[in-house]
Amino acid sequence: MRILLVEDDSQLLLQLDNLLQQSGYSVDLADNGERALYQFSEYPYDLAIVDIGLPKVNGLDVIRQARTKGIKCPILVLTARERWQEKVEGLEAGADDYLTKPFVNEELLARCKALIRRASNQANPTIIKGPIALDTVTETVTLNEQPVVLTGYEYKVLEYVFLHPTKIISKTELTEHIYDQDFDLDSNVIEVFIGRLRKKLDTADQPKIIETLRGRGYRLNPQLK
Amino acid sequence: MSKSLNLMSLKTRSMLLALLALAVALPITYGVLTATYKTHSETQIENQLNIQCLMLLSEIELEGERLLLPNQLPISDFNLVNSGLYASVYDGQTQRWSSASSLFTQAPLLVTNNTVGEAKFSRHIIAEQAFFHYTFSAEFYNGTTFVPLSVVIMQSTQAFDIQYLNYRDTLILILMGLALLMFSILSASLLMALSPLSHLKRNIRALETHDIDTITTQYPAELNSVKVQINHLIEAEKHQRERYKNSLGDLAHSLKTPLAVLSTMDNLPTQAFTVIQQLDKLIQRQLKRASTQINIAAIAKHPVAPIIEQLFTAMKKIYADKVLDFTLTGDKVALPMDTTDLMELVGNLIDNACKAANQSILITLTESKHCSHIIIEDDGPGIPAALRQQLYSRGQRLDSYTDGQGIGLAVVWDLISAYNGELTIEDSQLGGAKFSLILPHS
Repeated sequence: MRILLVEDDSQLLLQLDNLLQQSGYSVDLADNGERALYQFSEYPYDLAIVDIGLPKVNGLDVIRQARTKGIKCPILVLTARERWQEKVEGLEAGADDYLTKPFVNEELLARCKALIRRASNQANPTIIKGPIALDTVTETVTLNEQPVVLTGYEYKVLEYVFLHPTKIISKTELTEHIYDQDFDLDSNVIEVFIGRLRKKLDTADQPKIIETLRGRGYRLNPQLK
Repeated sequence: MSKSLNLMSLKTRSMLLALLALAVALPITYGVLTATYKTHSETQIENQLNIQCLMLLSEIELEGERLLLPNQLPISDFNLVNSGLYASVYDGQTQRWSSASSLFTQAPLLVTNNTVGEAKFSRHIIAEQAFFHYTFSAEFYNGTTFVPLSVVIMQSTQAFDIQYLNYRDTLILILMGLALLMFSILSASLLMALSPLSHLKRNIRALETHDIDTITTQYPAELNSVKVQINHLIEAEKHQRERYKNSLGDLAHSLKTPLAVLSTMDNLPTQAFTVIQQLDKLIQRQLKRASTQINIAAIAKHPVAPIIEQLFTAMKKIYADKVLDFTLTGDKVALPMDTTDLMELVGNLIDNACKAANQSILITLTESKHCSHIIIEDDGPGIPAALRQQLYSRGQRLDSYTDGQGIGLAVVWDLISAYNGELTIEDSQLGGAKFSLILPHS
């Protein structure tokens, strides 16, 4: 999952970057409103975390402009301002949730997960497809109720596919959502991840988990219920 | 004295001045007009008597010792008995002739020391009757020598007095009418002149009762500057408030970002985190209290319903995982509160209700004469009586920071106290808690 993190305090920006990366997210950073708007226009994000008090273009305007441009990704607002008016302003501008400073890491991660899940219309934090259950909270996967060990990247790929169950996902899209912006897009590493996932999750009595649509990309098998 | 004069209303002052002006001007006018009339009339009578005297003189003929005057004089009043116009001719102190009119009248007095060629006009009372008295002495030649003779004419003042009294009565009537007219005109013009002032007064009252937040009426030049100044003051106060609010926001930002840096640090000891939380609560509470708007002269009344609708929309996003059903019913309520405060107050209570509710949140607005009621109910587990008592006492001890309901309810109590409101906690028919806010209109 690719997150845009917009925060003007450099120390907080770096700490949150570390935190999110450790939690398996690909993170792009912006330390002012203009930069954030540029990032929004360049990359598709699964979530944006935006601080309200930003230099140049303030956080509320960033959100408004992003929404005007049709950016649909969920946005979590970080704010130091506690009053309901400011929260309502943020939500009216187009944010989906708010978090007031200071906050604990767990709270931030929980909000991020909930927002991403909500954006893909998954009300339940555990997504079940056929014999596979993916728990977005604990980031664990079970096959026929038996735990399956996945690497971070493998989990990211599977989660992305599970959260977009009807979508045909191109290799580029997958790459963009699981790697940071400086990653070389020509790599065939996605194919390797898909291959490994199939090896770990496909069983003889079930249809293939992930289909390959030649020249177009991958899709979660629609036969899986 | 001067203090009581200063406190006297403009209307009373102007009316008193107008009355004083009339009280001085009318008697003077009366005095001048009656005196002029009297003088003028008396001069006229003197002239008339002078002509009559000359006529008599022209009729007098002296033949030796005999004084000849015709029996019938050309002026008929001299011929009619008791006509009020009498004439006599004297030689020294000796009456030589008197007119037929004075036949039964007591002999008129002769004015002595009358030198020849000299006329005298005066007013006398003879036998309780007032007369105009005119004498003129002339020398007549009796063939041998010149004899000085005095002609005395007396005219009763009765007719004159009646005319004068009539004039005076008419004058008094006219002046009284005039006074009434002038007073009416003065009062009307005063009312007209003061009407913008009364209007301004009404507008200021409307500012106080929060029905308007700026004066837009056009006033005459003298008052317009006052209006501009009042609006300017209100505007300046509003800007000041905005600036203050923004500075508090900036302060919050600059205090809390470092706290966020601290709290998101790796391997932060638990004790450190407790301190951060304490600091955060302290900052939150004090900033919110500092930004609570109280004693503001001009806050226009804000309708409550749109603010609640805004909060509903926000809550639907915040509690998206919980499918909540929001209902707003009741009267159209407007309150003279800063919108930020109003939103803070209601927002915290709705937020609590959202946390507690299973499914339904009901808000009822009602309006009575002096206050508005905002009732927030939910279908959650409700608040047990013991906890309720705790919440009330926390409301009284505003400095306590140890609250289980988060900072929310403490801020609610601060705002209620700032706006002289009340809050009661009861059981709702929905099954959960019922928070009833009562907020006064002014």
